[in-house]
Amino acid sequence: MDEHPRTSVGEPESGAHSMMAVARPTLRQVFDEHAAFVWRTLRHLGVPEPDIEDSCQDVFVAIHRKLDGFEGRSSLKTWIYGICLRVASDRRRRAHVRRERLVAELPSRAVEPTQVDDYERGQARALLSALLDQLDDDKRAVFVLYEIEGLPMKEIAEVVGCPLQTAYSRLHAARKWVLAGAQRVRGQGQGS
Amino acid sequence: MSGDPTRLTDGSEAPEELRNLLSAAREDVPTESQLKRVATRLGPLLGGAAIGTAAGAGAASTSGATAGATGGMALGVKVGAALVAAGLVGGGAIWVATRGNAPPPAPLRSAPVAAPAPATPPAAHRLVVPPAASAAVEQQAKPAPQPSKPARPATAGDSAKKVAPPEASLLHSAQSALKTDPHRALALVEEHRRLYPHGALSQEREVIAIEALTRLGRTSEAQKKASDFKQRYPDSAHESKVGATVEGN
Repeated sequence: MDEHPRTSVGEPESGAHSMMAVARPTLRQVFDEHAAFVWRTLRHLGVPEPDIEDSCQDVFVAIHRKLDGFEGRSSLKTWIYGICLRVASDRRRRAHVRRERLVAELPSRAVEPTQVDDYERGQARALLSALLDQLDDDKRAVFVLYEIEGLPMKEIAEVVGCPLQTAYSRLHAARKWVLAGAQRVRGQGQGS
Repeated sequence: MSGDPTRLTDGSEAPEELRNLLSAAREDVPTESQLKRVATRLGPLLGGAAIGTAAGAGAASTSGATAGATGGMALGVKVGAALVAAGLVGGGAIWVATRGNAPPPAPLRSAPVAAPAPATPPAAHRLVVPPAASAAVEQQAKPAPQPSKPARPATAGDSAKKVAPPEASLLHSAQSALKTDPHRALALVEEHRRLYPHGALSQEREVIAIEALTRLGRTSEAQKKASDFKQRYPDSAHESKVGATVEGN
């Protein structure tokens, strides 16, 4: 998987890529380094699980089309995240129209004993998704980028295209929603 | 990082369950086979390997029957689409490597169509009903040429009948004809426009049309199209190509 050199693919910290000419990575390099991030990001941005693989492909096709135009003004990761946002938004809209229906409770299903870990992971994903689904797209993006992906707020504001203060406000509001949702879930768990 | 607030995972504001959820989410990466399948779909774009010989060639066999069924067919379309774009931007050589739509990767083709489990862990990750398998079936069962995504019409049972995606293959033919028979290229482009007015490759269609018109000496039409293109797709990656085509004439 890794027969290509990895010279400049890693995301430089903000500002570290300003003066030098941008040595653009190949699509293969971008894929090797960021595919897992793209996948995870799409998931947390609400792309339905069955659609993630297609969406991941959409992201890399878009990267392929635009890579020549990448100017290094933001980190590569930030730039890719912007593409993920657009792809996820589009995919969510289509999924919603097509088939998605939220349910009030986590579906239960029989699992093999050997799949317990996977099952638990799936339950955790479902729970997190349910919490994130409360948020509108703007708040969700800021929350995911900050709380899960660990980007600094300044970069997040660039990615989502809003002033820094607006990004802070969105994060604040998103946290309130998520914390309240988590408390509700906790209360339900204790009450049952 | 300056004035950024403490993250929920690092502070005490959030209950422990939520902190655990967020921490787990950071570690929640796709499986190797999932990534390999995507790599396989992207095959030629990732460095010229033919479809089926890329990293994912052997990956789909372990899990992913759903992905095998959908992916195998979506593959042709999407890679085809990407390749048209690649051919236009990068000079067209990629098409040679990708005629390859035709023989999709063996593991995808041989994956058991009815196998239920997607590659991802079993739970219903997004509280989506119906589950993944039926959603995939639903998607596969979409009737053929829909304008926006004509490339995904195939069902798992179609694998033997037609693998070349109509939208991509039309433009592939048009692109191939550009140098030797621009009249034909233009006709194919118009056929594409008729069948897929809002196709995924609309930009690429216009780029071919502009070049065909230029080659035919119909420069004012080419310039008009180029101008329309810039208006319609102001951020297109093909803009410089379009500019060079009409200005170079």
